[in-house]
Parts: sequence; C-alpha cells; structure tokens
Amino acid sequence: MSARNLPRGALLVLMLAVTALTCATFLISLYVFRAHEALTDRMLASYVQDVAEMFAQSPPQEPEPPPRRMARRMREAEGHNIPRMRRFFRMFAADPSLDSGGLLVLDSEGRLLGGSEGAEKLLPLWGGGVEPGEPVVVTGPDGRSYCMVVRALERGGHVMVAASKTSLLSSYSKLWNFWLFSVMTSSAAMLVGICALWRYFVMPVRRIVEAIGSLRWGTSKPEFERRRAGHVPPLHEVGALEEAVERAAVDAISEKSLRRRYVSDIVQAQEDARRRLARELHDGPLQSVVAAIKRIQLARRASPQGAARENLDEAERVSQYAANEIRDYCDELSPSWAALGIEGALEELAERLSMAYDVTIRVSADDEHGDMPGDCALALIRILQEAVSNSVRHGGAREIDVRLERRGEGAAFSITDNGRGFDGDLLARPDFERMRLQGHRGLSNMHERVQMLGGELEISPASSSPSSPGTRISVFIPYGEDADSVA
Amino acid sequence: MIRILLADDHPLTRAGLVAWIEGEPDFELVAEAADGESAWRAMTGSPPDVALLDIEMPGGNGIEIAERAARAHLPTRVVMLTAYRAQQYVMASIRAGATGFVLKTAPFEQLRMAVVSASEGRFYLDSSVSLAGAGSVEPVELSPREKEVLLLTAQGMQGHRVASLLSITERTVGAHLASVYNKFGAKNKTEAILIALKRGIIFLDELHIDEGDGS
Repeated sequence: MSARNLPRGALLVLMLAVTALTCATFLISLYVFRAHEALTDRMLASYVQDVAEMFAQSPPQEPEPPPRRMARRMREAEGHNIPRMRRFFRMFAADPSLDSGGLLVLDSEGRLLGGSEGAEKLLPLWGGGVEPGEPVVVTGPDGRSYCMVVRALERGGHVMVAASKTSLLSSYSKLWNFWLFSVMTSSAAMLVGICALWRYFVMPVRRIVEAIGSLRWGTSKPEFERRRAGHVPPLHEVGALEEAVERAAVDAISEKSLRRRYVSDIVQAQEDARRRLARELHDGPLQSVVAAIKRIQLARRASPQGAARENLDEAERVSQYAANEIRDYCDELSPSWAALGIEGALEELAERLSMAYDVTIRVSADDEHGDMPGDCALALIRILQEAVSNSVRHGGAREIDVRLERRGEGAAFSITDNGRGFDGDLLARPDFERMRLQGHRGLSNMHERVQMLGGELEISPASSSPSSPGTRISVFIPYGEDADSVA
Repeated sequence: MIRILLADDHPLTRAGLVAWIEGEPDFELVAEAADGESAWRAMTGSPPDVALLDIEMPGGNGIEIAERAARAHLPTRVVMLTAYRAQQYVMASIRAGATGFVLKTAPFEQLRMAVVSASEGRFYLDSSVSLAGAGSVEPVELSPREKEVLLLTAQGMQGHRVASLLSITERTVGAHLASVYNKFGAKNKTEAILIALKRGIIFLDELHIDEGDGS
C-alpha cells in the first residue's frame, strides 16, 4: 500500500468520490426529510379519522357521576359517552399540558356538548361551518396548524377531532428532525471542508509543484502569486513549503553564481596569463630576433659575396622563421588585434585559421558591434578558435561559415560546418558535464564561457542530410546598456 | 633628402634601423623616440617628411599618434612599422591616416620603398601581409556602384548607412560587396579594401578618418 503505487489522478478521484458520496447523503437526507413530513401528515390524517370513526361507532354507556363543575353540560351530553371519550383521549398525549389536540362533540346546532380536557379551546376551529368528510389542515387560534376531521354522528350532532402535529409528535419529530439535521449539517460541513482543502491545500501544493517543475535551478526564483502580491497563504504548512522552496532556489542561485564567478576568475586568470606571456614574447624574444635580423641585413650589405654571404642569408632565413613563429605564438596566446573591432578580428582569425587548417572559412559579420565589450569579443574569438579546431579535427569539415549579427540586445553568433557532425544522442540532450567527462572539453569550455556572460549556446546538425549532417554552434551573448541584468 | 623620424621602444631594433637609415645616402634621421609622447613632440617640433612609427609603444601607440598627426594636419607622412602582420592593424593604420605599412623584419629594400613611396604620398603595403587576390595581375573593373559601396565601406561606414545614403537596400549593398570580393578573389571586407588600395582602385586621400568610431 505504498503511496507511490497510486495512479497520478488518485487524489482528484478520491476527492471527487468523497464529494459525490457527501452530496448523495445530503440529497437523500433532504428527500427523506420531505418524505417523512408527508408521511407524518398522512399518519396524522388517518389517526384523526380513526379516532373520529371509533368514537362514532362506540355504543353509548352508562354515565359515571360527572364532576360537579361539568354537571349541567354533561347532562345535556347524555348518551354521548363522555367518560369513555376522555379515556380515549389520553392517548393523544403523554403530557396533556402539551395541548396536542382534542375531540369535541357538538349537537346538530353546533353547540358544544363536551370534549376532551381543554378541547373547548379548539372550538373556533369549527367556526360553525365545517362539512363532515376528509381531514383538512387548518390554522388554530393559537397559530398552530391542526389536522382536523368532522364526522356526523348517527345519534345526531357531530364529532370533531383535531390534532396538532408539532405537539402530538413533538419528541419523536424532534428526534427525527435532529438526526436528519445532523446528517445534513455534517455532509454540508464535509463539502465545505473538501472545498477548503482543495482551495487552500491541494491547489497551492499543485501550484508549488508546477513552479518547481518550470523552475530553472540556479537561474530563477519561483514566483508564488499570492506571496508576490503581499499575501501569505492561509495555511501555515503551505507557506512554509513555499518558503522552503524559495530558500532552496535562492541557495541554488547563489551557488551557481559562486561557481560562475569562480570559473570566471579562472578564465580571467588564464587570459591574463596568456596576455602577459604574449606581451613578453613580443617585447622580448621577438624584438631581439627583429634586431638580429636588422643586424644580419646590415652585415649582408657589407659582404655581398662568398661563403659569408651564404651564411648570412641562412641566418636571416632562420631568424625570419623564428620571428614568424613567435608572432604566431603571440597571436594564438592573445590576439592583440582583437581590440580593433570584433568584425575585423573574426575576419583576421578566420584568415589565419583557414591557412593553418587548410579549410575555407567564410565570415559574414554585420558592423553593429562597436559597443561590444572586450570580454564578449574575446569569448567569440575563443569560441571560433575552438569550434574550427573541433570541426576540422573531429568532424573532418572542409567548409565553415561564420556569422555574426546584432540581434536585439546582444550578438547572435553561429559557426556552421559541413563535417560529420555529432552523434544524435549528444545533441538530443546536450549535457556539457558529460561532454567534459567524455573528453569534449572544447565544447564544454565554450559553454562555460558563454554562460559566464549570461548567454546561451546550442549545438545542432547543420542540415538534415544523414551522410554529412555537419554541425551548427549557435551562440547568443547579451550585451549593451539594457542587457546587463544578467545573473 | 628625406627627413625621417624613427620611433621604436626596443633599443636593439632601433639601433639596427638607425644604422640602416644612416647608411642610406638620401635619408636623414632627424629624431629618434622610444615612446609615443616623445615621438609626438618630435613630430610637432619640426615636422619630418616621414615618421616611421612602431604600433606597440608605451605612452600612446603608433596608430594614435598617426591619428593625432592627421587631425593636426601635420605635413609628415606616417609609415607604420610593426612586428605584427595582421590585416586589422593595416586597416586601423590606414583609417588613422597612415600612408604605409611595413614589417620590421622586411628587407631594407622594402623599408626603403615604403619610406620613398610615403614621401611621395603613395600608399605602400608590405608584401608579406597576406592577401589572397593580391598576387594576381589581371586587370579588374569595378562598376561605379561597386566602387562607391566599397569606398564608403572602407571609410568605416556601416552597412545600413551606406544603404540609406545610396538609396538602396542593405541586401543590395551586401550583393555589391560580394561581387567585389569575387572579382578580387578576396575573402572579406578588409582584404577587398587593401587590394583596391594596392591596385589604385581607391586612394588613401579618399579614406578620410571616420570621426564617429575608430573601428
């Protein structure tokens, strides 16, 4: 019975099932309540009818000596079996004070001959004109509703029986009503509870899960709607969960930015070291070799013939070679011309790389990058170096297209080759960490550099041809006044 | 007599070059400088005919000095003297108003030609700055529109500004440039401009300094 084994929509199904059952209970209770009302009305009607019938059919009996107070009336009511009638009437109510109803005997002129205790209060119900027949519901002088029936007696006159449901069935009805009320109230409370649970717990938790799902850890903070508007979720637990998620996200951001700063420092230190080395090479060995060349050239002028001349020629050739080598080292270490504008720098580098690797490199750069910061330009240069080296060495590419264009607040840079391309697996889910471990350190370095500047790097096949898919490396690096909101 | 200023921060190289200049009968070395500032002072004092400026120098590099000289309308012709072989430095030098670009390692004959050409106001570009189409001697004809587009681009104007100035689309500007590259056998803009300069299709005087940006 592990919770993991429940299907995805289990919670929803459970909630809906409980809601449906509760609704059914509520509706059934409502129906039973109404059916019970009708039933008690019918019961009461048949009850008063039965009493009237029984009274009418009971044979007259010898009267008991009436109490003195009622003597006159009792005499008049002789032959109407008043004592039996009284006994009979005790069944109406356990507690006579409840005033649950009564039985009245009236003569043919409508005068009261007798009745149950206190029944004379019901006389106004007669009103002098009720026809004998089916039970009717009337409102009594006390405002209560009575079920009343009038029956003609064979010996003349009428018997009238009236009963108030509220009084007669009082305790039974109360108990029944109370039970029904409890059931209905509890089901209503349950419905409200389910709604509240859904609204204040399930929905917020689902929103949190959604927010976590769409969260880019280390880059963005989750946005909880209520919290953003200054509201705190009503449930403490939900609020605590939101806070915990937010804290985790903030931690991830600071960890990532720390890592980025660390990488950035390493890259910076590396670039500094390369720049320093290039400068030293340029100012030291290169200048010395240049000076040597000048001296050799001077010496050659002075001794234009013979073995000395041959030696000087050779010395100059070797020195020129050394000077070229040192220049190439300098350029590879830290191209000083990179500071003269990215468009030209890319052209220059492409020219050099195409000679070094014997490939065709076409550069198309728009000239809207006058404000590109140095680190961004350097990143593009390093990416081009790395990408061309990869394309030629791993992809066997012969042609490479380089494109740089201004796009919004940044530079869109792409390098497309016609080589063998990457295997599909690597492209489907580019995992730069895995690439690093597999030895594709170049790609992972490019990615790091771009990330450091808040940009994005994408690797895709250049064409749909399966034989030579080629590779396209697309980079976007934001820069400019509005682009410095980078984490 | 061509009066020459030599600015180079490296003493050994400078000594070698001084020895060469002193050996040339029609050259006169009027000043030596080891940094940008003293080079500028020497140029403004009594302007020499030709200034051989190293690009990388402390206290203001050669390109900055050339730019200042052009702004101040000094009569001195500037020849850039460098150990670097980058087309970008050539372009930057030309935009800064330099009349020549020569490598320090070049034979004295080439250095001499650079100085002489500069003193006559002719553009000189060291032959070892690699240019794909430069070796070809076949005559190339540019259409007037192509020349116009190339010249404006060479002046450092951005594509969309060239387009609006000539009332054509940016795409057409690109097409004209592509056609120029094709005719020259050039791989890119810089190469096309340098080849056009070398072949006298466009002239240095036409490339005034772009005040807006130095790119």
